[in-house]
Amino acid sequence: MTYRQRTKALNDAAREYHGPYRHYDIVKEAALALGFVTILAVVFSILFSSPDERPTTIRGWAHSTPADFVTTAVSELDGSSGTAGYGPPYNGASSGQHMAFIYLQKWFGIAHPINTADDYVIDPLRSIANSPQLQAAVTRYQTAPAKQQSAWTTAYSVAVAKAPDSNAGIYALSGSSFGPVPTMMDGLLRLAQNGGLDGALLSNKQFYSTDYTKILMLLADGGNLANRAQADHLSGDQWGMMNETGSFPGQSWLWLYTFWYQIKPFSTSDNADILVMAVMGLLSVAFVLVPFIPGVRDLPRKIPIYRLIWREHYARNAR
Amino acid sequence: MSDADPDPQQAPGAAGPDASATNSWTIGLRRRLVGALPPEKLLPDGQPAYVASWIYIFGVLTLSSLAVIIGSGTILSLKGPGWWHDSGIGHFFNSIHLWSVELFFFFMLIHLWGKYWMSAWRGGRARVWVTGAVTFLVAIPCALTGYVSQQNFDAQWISTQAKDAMNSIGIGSFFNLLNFGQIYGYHVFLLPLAVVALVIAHVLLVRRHGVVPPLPDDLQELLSAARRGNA
Amino acid sequence: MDHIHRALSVPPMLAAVFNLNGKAGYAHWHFFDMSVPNIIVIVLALVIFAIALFAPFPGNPRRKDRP
Repeated sequence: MTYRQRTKALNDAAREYHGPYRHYDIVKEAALALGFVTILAVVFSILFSSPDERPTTIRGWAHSTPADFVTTAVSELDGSSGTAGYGPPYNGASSGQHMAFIYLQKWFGIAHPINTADDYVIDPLRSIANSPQLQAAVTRYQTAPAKQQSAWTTAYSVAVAKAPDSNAGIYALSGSSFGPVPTMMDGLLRLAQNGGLDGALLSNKQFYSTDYTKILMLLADGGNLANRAQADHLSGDQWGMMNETGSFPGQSWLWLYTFWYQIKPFSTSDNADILVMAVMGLLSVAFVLVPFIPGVRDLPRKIPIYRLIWREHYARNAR
Repeated sequence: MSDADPDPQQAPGAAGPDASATNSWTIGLRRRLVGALPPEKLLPDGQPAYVASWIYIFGVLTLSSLAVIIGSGTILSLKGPGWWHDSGIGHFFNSIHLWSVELFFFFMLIHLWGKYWMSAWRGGRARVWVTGAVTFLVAIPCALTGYVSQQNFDAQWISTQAKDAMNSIGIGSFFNLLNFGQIYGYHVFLLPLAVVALVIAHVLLVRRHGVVPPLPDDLQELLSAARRGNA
Repeated sequence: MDHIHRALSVPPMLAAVFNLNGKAGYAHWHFFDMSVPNIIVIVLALVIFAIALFAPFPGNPRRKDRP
């Protein structure tokens, strides 16, 4: 018998069943199952509850680690932050991830434009009323040539890295090599610490906005969110996709998605995401098409777990 | 149509003698549906004798978990996405929603393992497997949009991380995980609708084709079955 | 510094019997790094699958005819 004939014979044999039946109450079974699962879910909820760690705010971040906040703010200003260099859909700074000649990230364009210098530093500072010194500093920065701006921000970044992580440490930074940057950063830090930057970024488009893109991208550029995630074992290189905060079970069904990120070449590639999505896309299609894939569809016959499931049927037939 | 007493032969559902020649869409559709799924197939009171293993309960357990997910999700949506942060009762229903999701994936995976090792796609049941597999794949973004709708630290982290995968394949430009309003709509309506539609198709296909019979015990039985099929 | 505590604290809820908000244990071996709760869930699924396969199923009086 050829493989095709055997496969066809197996399918034909399974089309109709003419053997004995047993009594079965499908509605009772469904009701019992529903009751059982409801009780199980309620019991787990009583025993374990569910996690709810409060979100990170810019205000909280600026208070707990002012140096990290200011470092991030400067990188947004001079275009060296993660968001600034991300590429589409936020800006054109890079082509984004690709796989060979496939640049899907670039091809779909800039749908959520973010100008990091304007959105995160300049516009919020411009919104601060009654601050002539601050406004003059911003104007001085904006009217300076690009090379001068870069010299100021670079020098300031180096100084922040060495300064104590405190308000006093930040406010103490001054010098002609930093230009107007310290005044701008002091103003931004104060705005962040009194919640004004959260507010400015949340209502930047319209009164009723549900779009948190800008504020979340800023938070993701900083160390506070990432440090919390690392502490909770949620980082990409910690199989984080599978995990939940605290000691709650997470998403164990995502094990294969996160697995690829732990091994080369994905773990060291700039294009890790598109590569993993491609691999998982292929495996997902294969998963859906199992009935049509020779070998994969034959394994259950070769490893006879089915003999356990239908042992009563085979025993009855043997008699 | 006159106002006189209706002719009994014209009463709804009692198709007259010339109904076989009808071009009525209603009668045609009704015949197709009832032909494919007569009441005794839709709600059977018997099952093949070979359905005699505990592995068979995991489909209905998965379905029940989905019902609890939808029920608890409905209650959460009554009071809005911020309710569970401020209210003990709200938090409790959030817990039920989370644990029923864990149970849903738990039971679904055992159901999947059982069905794979039974080769449950045999005998014209490939669509049963396909709808089940696609349900699993659609349930994953449904869960993702739920995690992203939590409005807490977890939501912040998951959205800022998962956005990279979305952006890398270009869909981040219109499926923005950082846009709470958009993602909440996907989570409470669009994706559950897709999951439910797939599950209904899956269950109706099982009722239509029946539970897959056992694999033939040996080659002899298979050849006999093949000959019977060709007869 | 209550801002830090606010950022990290858990809001009021009906107290759970077991508080799972502490740090989870992890099993770490080369690049394999899985949380104990997840390992428990996966092992439990495999165990329950095995039980479902091996556990005897209560028989019902059989009917020879179709329903």
